[in-house]
Amino acid sequence: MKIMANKVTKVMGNKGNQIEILHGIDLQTSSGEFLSIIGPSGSGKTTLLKCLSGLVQPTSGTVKIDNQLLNNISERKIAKLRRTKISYIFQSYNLLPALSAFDNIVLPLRLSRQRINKTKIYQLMNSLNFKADLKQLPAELSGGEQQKVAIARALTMKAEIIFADEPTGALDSTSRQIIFDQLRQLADSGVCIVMVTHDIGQAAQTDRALVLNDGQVMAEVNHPTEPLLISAMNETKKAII
Amino acid sequence: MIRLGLLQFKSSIKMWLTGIFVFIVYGWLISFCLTGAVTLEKELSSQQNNPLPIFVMPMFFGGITLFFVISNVIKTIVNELSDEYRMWMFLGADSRQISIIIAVQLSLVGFIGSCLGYIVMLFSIDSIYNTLQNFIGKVWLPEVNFKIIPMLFVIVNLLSIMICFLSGVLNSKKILKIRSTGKYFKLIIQVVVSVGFIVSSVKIILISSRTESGRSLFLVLFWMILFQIYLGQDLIKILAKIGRLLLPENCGSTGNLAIQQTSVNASKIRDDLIPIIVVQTIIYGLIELLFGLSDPNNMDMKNIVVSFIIYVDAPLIIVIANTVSVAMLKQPEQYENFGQLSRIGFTRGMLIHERSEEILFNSCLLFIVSLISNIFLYFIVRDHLINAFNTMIIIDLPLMVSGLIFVVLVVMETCNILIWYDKNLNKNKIEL
Ligand SMILES: Nc1ncnc2c1ncn2[C@@H]1O[C@H](COP(=O)(O)OP(=O)(O)OP(=O)(O)O)[C@@H](O)[C@H]1O
Ligand SMILES: [Mg+2]
Repeated sequence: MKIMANKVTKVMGNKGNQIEILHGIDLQTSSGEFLSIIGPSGSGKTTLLKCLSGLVQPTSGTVKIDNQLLNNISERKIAKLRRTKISYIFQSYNLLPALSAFDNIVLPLRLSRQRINKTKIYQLMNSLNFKADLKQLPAELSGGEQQKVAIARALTMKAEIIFADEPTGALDSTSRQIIFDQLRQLADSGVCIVMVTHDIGQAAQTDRALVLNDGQVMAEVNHPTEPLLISAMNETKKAII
Repeated sequence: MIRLGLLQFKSSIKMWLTGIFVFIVYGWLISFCLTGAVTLEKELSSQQNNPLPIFVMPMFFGGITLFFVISNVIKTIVNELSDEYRMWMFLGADSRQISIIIAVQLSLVGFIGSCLGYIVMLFSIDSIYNTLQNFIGKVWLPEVNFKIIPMLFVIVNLLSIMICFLSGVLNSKKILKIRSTGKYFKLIIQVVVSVGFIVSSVKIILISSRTESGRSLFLVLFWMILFQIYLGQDLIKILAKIGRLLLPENCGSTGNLAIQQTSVNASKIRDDLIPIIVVQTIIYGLIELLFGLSDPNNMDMKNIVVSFIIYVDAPLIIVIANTVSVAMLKQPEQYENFGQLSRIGFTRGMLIHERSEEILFNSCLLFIVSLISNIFLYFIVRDHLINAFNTMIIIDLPLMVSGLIFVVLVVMETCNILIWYDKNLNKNKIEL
């Protein structure tokens, strides 16, 4: 699975008060690549992730996933893509409050009428070190447990691309590490992951990092390390001044 | 899919039950009509006047009205839970699956509503039948004994579930804006409706005989209602803008706010006004047809009452019940607004004042649009109207309808505000 974005721009706001948030972003990923996007608050990271994943339409430019153009894709096709290939993990509000943890995990399977292997899911949750009851509703789970459920959902549907927006932002350092390690393992097993993060330490463990500022890619760091990223961030700051 | 719908219902049951009023009313209406029709049918052989349409037609027209106005209830609930429904889509539910989820929930509300409506009917059928008897006479409605018919209970529920499910499936796609291609489609409909409306109006002006113009008036009425449904929103929008411009620059602190609120809430208000305007127009059209265009010598008062019962009572009841349901559903949103306003120092009295002004503005809109419709209907057949036709009704009817809506909404809002302040003052006390 590949993502190809070409000159993506996004204009937001209502009539008379419109601002361009993304200014022509080009981007490519290959399967099994773990890409991180870093940048200051308000630089357009979330917006970019939404455009890449087809949650919102870019104002101009094109996004392709697996050679399939997301602009003007039919509602039926994007739905199919979402329940078979793409998975999202947001900072919070990842789960349907009406469904139990278990039902949330298997929802993509249910929506595409696939068989559900209950024991396999219980095993998976054990391996994720998930201690709570799968019959509980999301509101009764801690933030970390909720993120684990979201990851389990991506794992069970065998997602080929995972879009994650600060997936560990609200968590303590232990849970943060567990979740991040899971994502890292997934990437190593061939899943393409695009993750927005504020955590330079995490970004340094990904395959490639993009530094975003004011809706533009200011730097691209292959095999990033913390010092490399910090200097890249500082350079963009200097460039602006 | 159905199980998922049930789970979704369980978690948002409070919201759905808040909007249940219109479903109870519809359940009550069809159980009343069905019980009446079945009971009377047994007595029918000796009758010269067939009373069955009095019971069967309201069921039919009420059902159609419900089918359309439900979209308002769905829209309000889905808006309230829009994050949740967006999440369903992000996880790959397609529009068909989401509309089934919504339709399942709606059917459940319809089911609960019709059960309650049936019970209410059991207690009210005798007194309502007696009232009807007084109006129409025992020739039409003979003395009968109403019994509980278990089969009818099942049929009532099935009917209600069916309408809710269908309406849920068909309306939710539109509401979730899953189809954005609708723009041209809407434009085409608007053009067709406008052309039909204009052609039928021109035709009726050219007609010279009274009986013929009576028949054509039906056609004009039909096109006019479609015109109101498809173009009314845009026209009210323009009217509201003009209205806001005409108001004096400074209307006092609450007045200014009320005017701003009407412009913020404009689209919601427009949705609520249209069904009322449509029913008002039907009533006026019928009055014109029955009093203005039929021969005064063989005009039968009872026939006229029967016509009204057949054509307008059910839509009127459903539309008003729907207004109440939607107003109740909007409470959480209202409470948020109350909270903001009270934090910047609005007292209870000022809030009630402000809300009443807002409702007054909208009731005036309702009045003006109804008045314009009636004047139009009056002028196209003016030459054929018989002398006895009371022209005052052109103004009286909109005045009554908008007055009624004004009173109902102001009472509801006042209760709302009082309850809200009560709750929140108590909260503060505990905190202290
Ligand atoms: N719906 C919207 N309407 C108007 N402007 C918006 C909208 N959503 C976001 N913005 C603006 O777009 C810019 C980028 O927002 P975005 O959420 O992408 O930033 P971000 O990089 O994800 O920030 P953070 O790190 O704080 O999450 C911000 O300046 C924000 O104010
Ligand atoms: Mg963000």
